[in-house]
Amino acid sequence: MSNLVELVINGLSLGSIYALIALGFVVIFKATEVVNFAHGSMLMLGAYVIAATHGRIGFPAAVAAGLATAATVGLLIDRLLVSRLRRRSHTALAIVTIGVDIVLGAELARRVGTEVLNMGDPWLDHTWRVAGFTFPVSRLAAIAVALVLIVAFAALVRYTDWGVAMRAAAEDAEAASLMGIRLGRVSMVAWVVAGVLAAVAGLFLATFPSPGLSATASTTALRAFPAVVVGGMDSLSGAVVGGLVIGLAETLAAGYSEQLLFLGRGLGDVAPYAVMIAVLLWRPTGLFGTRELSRV
Amino acid sequence: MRKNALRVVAVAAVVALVATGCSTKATRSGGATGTDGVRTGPGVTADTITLAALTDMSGPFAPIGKQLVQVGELVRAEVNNSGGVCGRKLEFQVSDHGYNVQKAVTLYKSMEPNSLAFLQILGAPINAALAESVTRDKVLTLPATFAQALLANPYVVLPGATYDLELVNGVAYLAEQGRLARGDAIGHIYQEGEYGASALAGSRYAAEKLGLKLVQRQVKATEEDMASYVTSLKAEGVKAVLLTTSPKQTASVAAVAKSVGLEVPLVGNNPTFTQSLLDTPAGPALRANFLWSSTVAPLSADRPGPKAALAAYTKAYPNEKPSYSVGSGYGAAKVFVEIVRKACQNKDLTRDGMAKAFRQLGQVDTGGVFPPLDFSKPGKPSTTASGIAQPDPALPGGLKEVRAPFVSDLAKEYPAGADAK
Amino acid sequence: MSDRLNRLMPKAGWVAAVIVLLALPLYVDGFWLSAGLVAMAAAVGAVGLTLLVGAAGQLSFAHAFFLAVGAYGYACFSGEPGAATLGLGLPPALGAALAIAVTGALGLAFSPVASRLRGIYLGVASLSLVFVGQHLLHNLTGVTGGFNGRDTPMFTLAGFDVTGSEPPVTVAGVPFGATERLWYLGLVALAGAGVIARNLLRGRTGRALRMVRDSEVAAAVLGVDVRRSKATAFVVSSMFAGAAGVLSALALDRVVPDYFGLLLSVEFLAMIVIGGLGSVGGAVTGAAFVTLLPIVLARYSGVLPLVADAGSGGVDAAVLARFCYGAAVVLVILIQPDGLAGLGRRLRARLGPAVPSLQEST
Repeated sequence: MSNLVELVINGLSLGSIYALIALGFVVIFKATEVVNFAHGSMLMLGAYVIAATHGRIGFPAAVAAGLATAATVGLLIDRLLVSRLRRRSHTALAIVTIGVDIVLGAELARRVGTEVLNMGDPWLDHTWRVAGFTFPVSRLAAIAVALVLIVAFAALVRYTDWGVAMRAAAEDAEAASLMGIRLGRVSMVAWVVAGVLAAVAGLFLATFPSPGLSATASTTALRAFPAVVVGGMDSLSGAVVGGLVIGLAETLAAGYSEQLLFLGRGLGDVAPYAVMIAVLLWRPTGLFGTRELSRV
Repeated sequence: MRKNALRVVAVAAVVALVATGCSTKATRSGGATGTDGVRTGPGVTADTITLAALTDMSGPFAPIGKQLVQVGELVRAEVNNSGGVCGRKLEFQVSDHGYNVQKAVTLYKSMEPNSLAFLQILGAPINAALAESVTRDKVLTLPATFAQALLANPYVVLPGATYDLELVNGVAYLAEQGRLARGDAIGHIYQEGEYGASALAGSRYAAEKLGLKLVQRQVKATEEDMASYVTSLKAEGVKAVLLTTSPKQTASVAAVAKSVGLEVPLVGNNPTFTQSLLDTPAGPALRANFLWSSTVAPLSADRPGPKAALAAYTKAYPNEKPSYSVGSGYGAAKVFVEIVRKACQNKDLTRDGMAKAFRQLGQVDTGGVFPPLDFSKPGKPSTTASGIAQPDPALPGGLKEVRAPFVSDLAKEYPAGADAK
Repeated sequence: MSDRLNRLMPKAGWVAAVIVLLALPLYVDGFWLSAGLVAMAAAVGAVGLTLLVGAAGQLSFAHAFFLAVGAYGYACFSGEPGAATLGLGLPPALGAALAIAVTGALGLAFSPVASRLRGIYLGVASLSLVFVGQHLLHNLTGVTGGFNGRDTPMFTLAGFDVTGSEPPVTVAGVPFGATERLWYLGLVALAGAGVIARNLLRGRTGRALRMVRDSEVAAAVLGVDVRRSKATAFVVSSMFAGAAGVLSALALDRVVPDYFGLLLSVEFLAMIVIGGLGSVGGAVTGAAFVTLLPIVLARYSGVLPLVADAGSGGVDAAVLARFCYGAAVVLVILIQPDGLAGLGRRLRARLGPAVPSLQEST
């Protein structure tokens, strides 16, 4: 039983990191209808900048630099590529982000190489013991930061002009544009916000109990795809729920791998994708996604 | 349209046939006997002997592959400076497979025809994939890996004890120290494929003989987050965890074990550790709990072999951080050069000549890089001894020997060899 | 230029290309032939994917999975019975045909999911096939050989080794070994794939697919069975992938799970985008570009100023190749949506009037 509790806590803390990645992804999709396949590289870039600079400028400044870099790349992708292709198909836009991912991913993988980079975070390997359970402090920090960011983001969407504009654009871009909403600005802010969220997630993916940032972090970041699909690609709350579901599924599948041996070894890696297929078969647009209806 | 296409092909075929008259492609040269009376095979000319190295310079084992190639070059320079072998200079042909089996198979095909032997083929899955080709081409191969299944291949030179023996000795060491008692549970986290399967044979045997309960967890080579596995091992109340993992996975296990309060010895095979792990957040946990159970001596060991390897390496590459693979690469290259020398004495530098010379080597002393080696028994490991070391960031290689190589009583009874499963 | 010359020009070009391809094994050494074979296998797969993504507008990452099914399928059907991994010992040609059929059947099995999902959802969902596929390849050890993979059975046709050296054949002093012989099988497969794909695209099926891509509603109004046409695209594309899988298995001698990962799917997408979505010739050109670039760069890394040695931490051939094709993908979408195929068409249009286009314009 204590095993189950620990696994669930573990899964939720991992899930909160996935939720951050998924949230960034959904913001972009909602505001610009672009499926951003470069999200994993943006995450890795943010984390890499933190890892590479903390030795010289200290952890807080390094985090600021990491967030700024990821946000800048988001901004550049929006200004240089997405804004020029606004009238093209979803597929073309998605493919452009794949191209960006190939280049950025190759360079980051080369720089990290086979090293495991230390993030220089203040939580180190500290743990916190409560009621017989031990929690890594960095994961508690991850949950806290994720909560704050998610609440702040919800407020942003609900109460600011940008939030209203984004929701209007998601509802009907053409109508929103006619009503005087500047789609370019909506899209720009979305990409910047997504970059920030990705970098924060990247930081926590690489802190304790993970030994550090390694070249495969972007593969882990891919699991945000099952998260967004499970939640529904255009639903912000869906992204959070999806992230948690995927984190739990992964951790439980790995934790009970011996009991689930008939499904094969290494179940943790594949569980997110299996959950995704199952959900899609049941609800083709995810748990909270908008169903498109067309009458013929 | 169809007619047209046919006509195009027909015309093309005729022209192609005419063009064949001026083909320039050379055919592969066969064996011959040189003017010095030495029979020569592929890769051997009147003044060079080419050895191949198929290694990992860009994949997960790149740090190891790189250092193995570097020390190989050092040994080569040493040999060539003292006149070479059989009046011929040693040449290396090095390729990077990036730990990609598919790429390795293709590279092997292009390297094999021009090489006398493979000084190095790095990676357990790659050696497994190439086993058939190696046997067919009768090419002597030194795998930079220690899986006992390789011993079934008569063309494989495997200096050192196999992974299973490392763990048998490691568990025996813990029992001797009183850290394990009959009835205790021990965990074993191992990678899929040859590497893990090889080590598992040893942990199973040791657990059965000592009355321990073995809790196994197989992981993929690409997995990095060991949290769930460690948590579940903790739930089983394990008193020690054996590791047959990559260094990154080792770090994750150590970190997670500490984070969930599982403070038990972690015993790893020789590929589970690199010094840079000590700089990560997992460093303190590794220093406290990790034991390196290895047939290769740590570089800081007080024996002539490791000392010579370390001195030569730091002189040639002062800016690099040497690891234990500097020692094993040095020892392995020395063994290989011995085989070439023996084949030279026999005046037979062919593939068959190399295979014969290999079995005639007798006892080989690597100055304590490896325990004393004996290659005369096909299918059996060249030694059953391995030592124990623990992390120490102050020393070169980051490891301090705590017990020199020994053969535990448990290992003496163990049916080591190609078919240990 | 006279009209006659104009008409002959493209034909002469084709004759020259076929001659070069037929005679290549006489001049080029095994290394380049092997590289060419891998490129041909990729080209067959890329042609299949361009039908799905280009013509039918369905983004898919599942291609690597279907390639794996073809490769492993062939190994199982024609593998030696009684070995450690499953082998049925069927004649190789039959085994290859069955492997392609099985891939098509799996494509059909996935198509209910495919036809339920709209546009980009399908692209993301198809990611799962790659990962589930990897899981199966690693775990069904009795069939796949697990992590270490399994050997590809030899391809023989009526007693003649296509991937061996019995009976010995020597042409103009060049002994024809496995690679040389396989080269011609690859050429036949590639030519077959090209012809089938072009006929499909020019026919009724192609028109229906393009209509569905442009607007599902409009297509349905005009009487196109949307569900069925999406399913058809999936099945056909996966069968091409199956054939490419068989060919890759033969070219590489061994099939291992790691080869069929996400990276392969991404490379396939890069190939068809660079070549020009929906163009058969473009897919072939793109495949050659993406597969041969890293090999060429690695081979000449000593001479090329920008390429570092592998393992030195600098920009080595593999990384540089990825920069090139990643950037090419972005540039193509940005400034030349028809890819290399479109570029070729424009060049030809500028050089001479009214040369009939070999590509199906989209």
